[in-house]
Amino acid sequence: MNSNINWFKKIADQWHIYREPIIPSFGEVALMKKVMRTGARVLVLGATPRYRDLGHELKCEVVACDMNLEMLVSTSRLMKYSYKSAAETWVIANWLETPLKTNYFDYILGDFVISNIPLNLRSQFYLEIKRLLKKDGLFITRHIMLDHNLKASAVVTHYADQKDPNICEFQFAMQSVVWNKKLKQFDLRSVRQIIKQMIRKQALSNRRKYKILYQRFIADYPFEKTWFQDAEINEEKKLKKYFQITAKKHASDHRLSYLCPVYFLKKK
Amino acid sequence: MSKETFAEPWKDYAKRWQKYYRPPGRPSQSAIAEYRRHLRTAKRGLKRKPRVLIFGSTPELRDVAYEEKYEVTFIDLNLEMILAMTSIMKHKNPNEIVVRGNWCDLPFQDHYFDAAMGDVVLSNVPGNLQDRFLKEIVRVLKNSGYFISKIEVVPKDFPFEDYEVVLNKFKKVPADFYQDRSCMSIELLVYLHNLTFNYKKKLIDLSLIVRGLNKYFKKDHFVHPDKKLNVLLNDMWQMWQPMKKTWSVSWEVEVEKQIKRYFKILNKKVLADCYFRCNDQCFPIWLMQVK
Repeated sequence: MNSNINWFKKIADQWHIYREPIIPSFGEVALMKKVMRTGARVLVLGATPRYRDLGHELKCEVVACDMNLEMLVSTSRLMKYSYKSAAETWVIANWLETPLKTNYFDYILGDFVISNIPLNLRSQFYLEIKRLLKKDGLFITRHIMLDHNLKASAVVTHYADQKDPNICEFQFAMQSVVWNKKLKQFDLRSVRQIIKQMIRKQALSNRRKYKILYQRFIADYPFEKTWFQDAEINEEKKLKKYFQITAKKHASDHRLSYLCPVYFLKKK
Repeated sequence: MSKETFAEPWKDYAKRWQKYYRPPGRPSQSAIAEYRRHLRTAKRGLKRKPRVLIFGSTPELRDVAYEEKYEVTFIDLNLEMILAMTSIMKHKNPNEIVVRGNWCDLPFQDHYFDAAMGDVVLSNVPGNLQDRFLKEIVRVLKNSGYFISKIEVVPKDFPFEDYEVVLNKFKKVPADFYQDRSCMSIELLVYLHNLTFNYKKKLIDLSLIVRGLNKYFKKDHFVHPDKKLNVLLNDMWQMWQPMKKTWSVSWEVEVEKQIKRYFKILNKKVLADCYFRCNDQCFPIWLMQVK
């Protein structure tokens, strides 16, 4: 996980440019809000401003646990209730082994947190979540799904054709395309190569829009980061070993919500 | 007393800490050696990596715990202190667990740490919360875990003299005694702040120093006819302005009684960091073990 630390620092600097589906939509946050009660104890894995805002909106005790301090500092400015961030407890620690209280939290919120954990460490991660959650607590997390029907050329062309493409959406769609089934991971660096190849294949007059897409992609995503992801069926099988999936919901306020369901997990 | 005069001032002190803050306010070399010795005691016999919880961001403590191969967790209420102190660490410890949180409501699991330590931490907790703070330390420490800390006390024979008498004493201190003049200015602060000790409230209040030295204080600086004292008073002001800081301190015997409700006192050592022995006696380092 340490190899990804630079990624976190870079992402902290440019968090403000992210849009859905990279960040949770208001629809997704609303799904979470429906099941949460006020005055509860909430642990946010990561620094996601909208989750921390949700905690404050519900007058909860908010603890945020991230791998680096910069992430929490810079994302605090983007919160609706940024003035309340001073009241949060911040913990800079590895999610796999935190010193936090046992059976303490009513809700643990995560945003694509599972895909940050290498597959061989997933059991350790799930056990730690179980340790931190109260008996009836819920682990609520958005999780990445892959659409194997998406084709690289179609996705690239779709977004290159748009006047003002949503680069966050483009990145998200490309995850399915660049997923390595054998290694069970994806790395968006290869997207650069895919767009470059597409540019070469185009007639000279048609290249400009692909070049623009390429420039915007590398500006928004200058990272080297690996995500760990198994097929949906295997991901759920592993989850079910530790949790009961009480619900799996999709919001409807962004185009790729079908690729980021919100899981509501109760510990077994 | 609220957090405004106990914890909040550190946000501002963070900017000036490295330039002006000296022992006994921060650990001297001899204090570090003492902390190291006690950390070695605390990890004796352990087969796994020992865990220490550090109260505050004090870089010297985090460095010594790292050197002693502890898993280091530290907790500070002020982000400003965390950032400023981390930037002056000797070692960059990638595995250090940083927590911005409340000392009196620790977010940690029960019996997790082998040792807890802090440099002059108890007096930074308001008096009405000190028992809660000590109970929390006991909760997070292993059953026979250690609490290692410099704890500020008021010795029963501390010379409570007139401000002018104290200033005259400092006038006579040989100039070459101190490595740098910040050491002398913090010692002046320590001496003077004890003169503000209110036994009933168990409080030391810096604003009373300004009142006591009113005739030398002009709006935002001191003007003293003696050149040496003028420099010292203004260095003190530079560090501690606007002098709205309080500490909750008591007579040594009372602090000991309070500590003994939760810990066995295994060792208490007065160091020799200061020119005036009475200042050293206010800051012994204690080694305590959960009862």
